[in-house]
Amino acid sequence: MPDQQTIEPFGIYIHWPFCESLCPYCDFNTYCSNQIDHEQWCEAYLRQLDHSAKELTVSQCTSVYFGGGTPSLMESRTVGKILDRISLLWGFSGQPEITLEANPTTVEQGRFLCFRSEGVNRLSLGLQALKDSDLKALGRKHGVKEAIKAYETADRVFNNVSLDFMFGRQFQSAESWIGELQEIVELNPNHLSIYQLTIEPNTPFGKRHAANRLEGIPDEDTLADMYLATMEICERNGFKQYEVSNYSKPGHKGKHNLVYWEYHDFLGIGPGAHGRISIDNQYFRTNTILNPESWLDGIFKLGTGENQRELINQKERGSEYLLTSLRLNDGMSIDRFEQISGNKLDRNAISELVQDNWVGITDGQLQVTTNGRMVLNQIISKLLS
Amino acid sequence: MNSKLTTPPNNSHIRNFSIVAHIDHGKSTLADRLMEFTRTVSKRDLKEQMLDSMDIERERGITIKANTVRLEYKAKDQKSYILNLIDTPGHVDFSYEVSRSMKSVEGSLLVVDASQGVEAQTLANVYQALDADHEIVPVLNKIDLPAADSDRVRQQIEEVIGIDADGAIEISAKTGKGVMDVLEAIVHQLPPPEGDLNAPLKALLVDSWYNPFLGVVVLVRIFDGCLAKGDRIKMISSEATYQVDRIGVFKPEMEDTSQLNSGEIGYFTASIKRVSDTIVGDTITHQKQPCKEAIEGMKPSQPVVYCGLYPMEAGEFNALKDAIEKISLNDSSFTSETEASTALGFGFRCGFLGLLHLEVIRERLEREYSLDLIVTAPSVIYHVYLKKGGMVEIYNPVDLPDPTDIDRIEEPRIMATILSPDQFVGEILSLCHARRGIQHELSFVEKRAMIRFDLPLNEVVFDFHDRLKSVSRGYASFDYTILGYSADNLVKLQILVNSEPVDALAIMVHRTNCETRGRLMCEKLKELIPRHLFKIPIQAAIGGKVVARETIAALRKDVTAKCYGGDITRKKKLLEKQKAGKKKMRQFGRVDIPQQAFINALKVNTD
Repeated sequence: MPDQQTIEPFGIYIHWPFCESLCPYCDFNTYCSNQIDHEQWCEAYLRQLDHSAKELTVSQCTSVYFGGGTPSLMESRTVGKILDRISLLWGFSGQPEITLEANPTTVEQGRFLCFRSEGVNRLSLGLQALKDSDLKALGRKHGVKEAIKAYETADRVFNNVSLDFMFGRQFQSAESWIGELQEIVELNPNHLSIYQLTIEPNTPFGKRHAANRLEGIPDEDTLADMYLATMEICERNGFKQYEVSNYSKPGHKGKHNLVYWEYHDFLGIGPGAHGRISIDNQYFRTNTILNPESWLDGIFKLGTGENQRELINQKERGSEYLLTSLRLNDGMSIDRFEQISGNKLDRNAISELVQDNWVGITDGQLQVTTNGRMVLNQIISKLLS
Repeated sequence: MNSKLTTPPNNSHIRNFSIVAHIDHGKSTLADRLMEFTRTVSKRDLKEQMLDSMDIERERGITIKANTVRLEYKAKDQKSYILNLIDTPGHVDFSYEVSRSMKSVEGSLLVVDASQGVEAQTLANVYQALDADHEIVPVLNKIDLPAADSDRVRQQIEEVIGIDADGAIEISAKTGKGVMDVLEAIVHQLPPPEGDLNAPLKALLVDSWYNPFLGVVVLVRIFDGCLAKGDRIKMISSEATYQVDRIGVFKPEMEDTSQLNSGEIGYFTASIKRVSDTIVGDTITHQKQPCKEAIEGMKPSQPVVYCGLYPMEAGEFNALKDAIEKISLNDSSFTSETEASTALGFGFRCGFLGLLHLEVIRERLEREYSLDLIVTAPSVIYHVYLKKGGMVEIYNPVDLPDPTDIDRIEEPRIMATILSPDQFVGEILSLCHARRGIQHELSFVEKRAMIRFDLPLNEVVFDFHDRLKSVSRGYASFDYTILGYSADNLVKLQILVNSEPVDALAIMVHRTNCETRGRLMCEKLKELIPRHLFKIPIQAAIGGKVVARETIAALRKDVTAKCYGGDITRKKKLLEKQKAGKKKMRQFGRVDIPQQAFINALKVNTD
């Protein structure tokens, strides 16, 4: 892959903060609103891009990701104008990955073709479950039949679809998940993101959990069994795991998400979006105004919706690289870690971890084993302490 | 006032008294009212419960140090009186201190909550007052409450305590109703102090505390003679001599006078450096003209409960050391010695008068000195008799000699008095039996039971009081006196975590209980110690014999499912939080044991 050698990946994340309804487990920066001025929003994104381009002049863009919220609720021409502007400001490298997140509802599938014609070449569909009752408990507005139809449409339109699923749902057993997984792999998409349902504190689920009113969440052992089964079944069916929760058919790893994990620069645009950029060999963590109206205000009054940015020091950069790259099956380049952090890795900690079969080293890459991946947080803690 | 004291006083205008009451029965509120009604403190300056000066005292509604106040009261007979109130510690841990305070006054107000009735603690203190030959004035407080039942409580006082309660004064300390009657009763029912002003000085050291500006302040009761500024004095028991710097009375602030005469209560300072140089109960006299006999009944206060106090982080050892030294300055009954534990590093083995004393000191260390502490299981002092002869006192189970060298082990026993509504008697009896108790008495007055049990102190020091409160829904009250030592079949129960003995978790148990206790501790530790990357066996053993075993399964899953752009910062913070949490653990071999586990491992409901 010669172009990967020459072009440093650079991704742009666009956050659309609106949803038709809010899911009780979601803790992203999302809002329900039926008064959205699409013209104004489109203009705001373009102005923010212009503003950012003033300081980020070098890189070519390798991927764009429209996330949210529900970005499939954006007007397709807004998506088109954003992509045109990016192309104008930075240019795209040879084969950019342009992903849009969508809900598998009937309404939305009607618009897939429009997004395709505006330049989106990859669709990420949030199916989440293949059980109607579970979808309802998760607060999803689609049913299984509808979702499968949406997937089929998307597959025809894009021929490059990623599906999102969740395990560790209320009252779910390992056996029933394994059965569901079988159905999932039979759908045969290019890419699968399969997450364990995480109970976040500031969500309705989090509050119910804290009050002991979120029943039937599987215990640690069951969750471990589910995760092991997920890795095995995906592998057996040609979906190669490349990250903790991500699996792909050959050649279909998510390029944009690899930008995060391989620790390259990315721009975060939209209310609540985060970014990580380098300017003159200084590294910054950027964040934006959370509230949509205030973000718009920021842009139209000051030209940017960005908040105070933070300088990332060398040591932090090292630990962030370790933290994200060990999530990948390819692992972390020891050389690059030492170059980024300016520190040697703790060889004693590593040899202990190798001895206990938590990690291995291949061609200068530190990789966690399947055992290690199950308890990755512990491994990272050990390496960072 | 100085001019008044230069002429030989007639003690008929002095009354010295204390207040005996159970926690919450209104002792401090009544003391506040007495100060207010005699205009000792104006209502405006009165903060709630004026005499309890430490935060912890005020919060817990207990008195730890004796406090005193001098009230000036013009009675209905138009004469002026000086009323000296000594507010005594109200808890069994401080019973010796109570006895000295009682000795310094001639009478007591017995305050009983008219809605609650007599409690165990009241009983213990009222007996001390009777021992000190007090005149006792019964006072029924809280008569404004709908649940007040004066007649029943009057009858109870007569039957349980055995004093005449016909003339009991009905009051509400809260509203002030009846408080004037209390003042009149103090004047007319309590005797004035006796004593010979012309005899050599004989004064009782009632209490002492450290004041950062004045050094040690000594609270005294003058029995004979008079004590004046500049006097050279001698403490009979400690044989130390001092020159008096300042002398005065409490109103309740310190107010200097030139002398204190026979019958009076007040303070002096004499450049005394440490509280431990003053022994509560000691007799103070003049160096040149000493009194012939010391006041009887003095004994040094001895700690009965010991535990280890360790800093959460080894680096805080010096801070803990300083804090312990500062607290010791003011509390001579609290002892400490450095100790090293393989599990916990360097710390202190500390001695306390009882469990409340332990709690109070622990809270002060954590609050006033912002220390993070590991507290190990409380232990009593065992007398271990060796086969080759001789006896060693064991303060920490870890120090127990090799079992083959031991002839017998004796442990302290107590006589517990429990008062409770009768419906809980069954539960309380089984609790006491489970704790190796021997029943001595069970009697009923109406619907209240009095239970007396001979119990090993070791079975009481930990959670007996909590259990008692829980089986009686909070109604039972409890008090005890130390009986002495007796032999029993005691063994050291060791806990092994990941095959290594953790010294800080060793306890002494009765042989018949060792399997049950061992099993419960292992089960509890299994809950308390988080899963690790490897499985951890937890064993309870007597000598080399494992009596119980549990296994903490290896951690199976700990991985964040989602981590994208914005999550990276959050995820990093999460890991940092985890790290901070780890600081609250002590690493033992490869196992991290949470700080709380060392004490919570024992909190098991065996009853």
